[in-house]
Amino acid sequence: MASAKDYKKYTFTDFLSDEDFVQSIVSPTEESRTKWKTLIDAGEVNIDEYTDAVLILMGWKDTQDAPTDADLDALWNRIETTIISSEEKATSRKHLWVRAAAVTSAIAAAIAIVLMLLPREQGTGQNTLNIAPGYLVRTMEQSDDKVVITTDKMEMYLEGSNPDISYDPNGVLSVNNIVAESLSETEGAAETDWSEEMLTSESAEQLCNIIVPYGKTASLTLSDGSFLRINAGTTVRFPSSFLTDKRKIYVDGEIYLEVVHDNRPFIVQAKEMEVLVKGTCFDVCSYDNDDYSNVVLVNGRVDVSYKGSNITLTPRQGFFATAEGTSVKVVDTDFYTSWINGIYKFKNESIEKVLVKLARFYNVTLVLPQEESGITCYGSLELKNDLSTILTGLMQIASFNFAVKDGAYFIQWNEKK
Amino acid sequence: MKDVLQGIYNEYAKDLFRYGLSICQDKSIVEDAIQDLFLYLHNHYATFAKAEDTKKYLFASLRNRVFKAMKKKPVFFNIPPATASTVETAEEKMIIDERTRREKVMVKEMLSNLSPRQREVIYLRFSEQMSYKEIASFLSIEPQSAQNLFGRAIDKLRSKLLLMRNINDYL
Repeated sequence: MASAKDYKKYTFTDFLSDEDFVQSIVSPTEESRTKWKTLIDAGEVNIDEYTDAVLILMGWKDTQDAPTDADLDALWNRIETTIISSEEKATSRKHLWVRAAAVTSAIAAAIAIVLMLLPREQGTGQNTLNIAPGYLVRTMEQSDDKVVITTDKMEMYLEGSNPDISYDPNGVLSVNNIVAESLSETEGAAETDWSEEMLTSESAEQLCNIIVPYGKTASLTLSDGSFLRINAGTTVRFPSSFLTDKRKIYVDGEIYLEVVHDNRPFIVQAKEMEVLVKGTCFDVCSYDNDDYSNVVLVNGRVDVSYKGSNITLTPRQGFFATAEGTSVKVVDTDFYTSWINGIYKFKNESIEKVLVKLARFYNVTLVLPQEESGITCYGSLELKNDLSTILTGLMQIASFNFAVKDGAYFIQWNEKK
Repeated sequence: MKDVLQGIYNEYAKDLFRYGLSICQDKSIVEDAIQDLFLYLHNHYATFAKAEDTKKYLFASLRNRVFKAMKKKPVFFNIPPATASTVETAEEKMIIDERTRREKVMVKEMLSNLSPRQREVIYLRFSEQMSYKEIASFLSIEPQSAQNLFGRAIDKLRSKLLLMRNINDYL
């Protein structure tokens, strides 16, 4: 193919929009290789833009390694089985598989929760990106910037930075005291009649998720009257009404919880930790991408089970689990629950932990030196100020510097004198 | 009948799978959608047989199913496929050094952070090598919109790449 194109003037976008170029990288031939090599050697190509374009295509190609042949075979077996069973059962029973499909996806959803609660392996966390040896970038990135409520039938995006969500005893949802009965189901006209099937087969608890992005918080009243404050960057999963003999919710992140007493136990599951409650106020902090979890009890009684061991907490006690082990300490609960009033209090806390919490709250990217600062601090910050003001204040008590570049906050420890 | 479907499966399953994964990174959703699609083909073969363009029909049906399933089920986790040690082609060797190796990993991560529609259009351009006109007719949008969608996705990748480099330089 004659190249009348002037690759010297090509930009990154031009390259990636050029079908010849894309094809020669995605499925190279001897001919295309020679062509590009000759062009490059002759200086006929804008090499910086070319290199970046190649990089993007290579990265793209790497994502195309799935599915494997084994994946494909397994999937065909699944399909074959369902086809055979649908052939065996005459047309009147056609719905049966459809129902089976609904069950399959329910199982998939359950697996998703389990995955969500499993701690990520060290180093594979999405939010930790090793940029250069010696530095750690925490990108506090989430796809949406609104609080979201989802069920398997709908999703709802909420405005405002601290929406008040509540379920009445019948499981009816209100947001900021407005009943959301007009909530349209996003289910469109289905091509099969399975949506009806699914509705009628649903006598079980309807699970809801509330996803609070970084930079937001939310309040939630459950159908039993229990009250939650949900901190930034947290997902909570719970039934719209509790229909079984226990009340169970799942948490990835941080919540403060006031449980209403009734004869059914209340269980909070977070990562590998399970907290059993009987009428209590407490704070659970367990982010999947943090290597620590803790439960702090304000009043009442809770049982914490963690990796097979059981611990009972009495008021003002905290349970702390880190990579090194677990401990129970008497704490000033205010330090753990002050965030519900928009104040962040901390005592003998490492400056890194404080900064990560702030980055989460303000939804910014934080770049920390990987080397530990060894600085611990004590203080109380009002989270309504802007982050730069807060950091400037923090610099008074802890010896570090920060710079903002392209929306990312870069931290540097000062040399110790 | 089953053999006919198996033939279709053998020919298109890999592309369907990849296309599905470009929209939705949750493999179980894509698998369920493909299974559902083939059962639908089995039960409504006549409709399918009338389709002019088999691949287009399959892609469009899968697309509807995947988007529908994603609406119902929030995707909690977003783990890019494990880095396979792929054999490097001559083009790669030309540019490969430690930095590019690292940046390639970054690109994969950036791709997984694009929106489903952006990843989809990238897939259609890069892997299916469709023209904007073909993409436009497939997605029922204007060719200009297809081009914009692709352009924005590419710009986003570029600016992220530059940002990451800036961070590196700053450090």
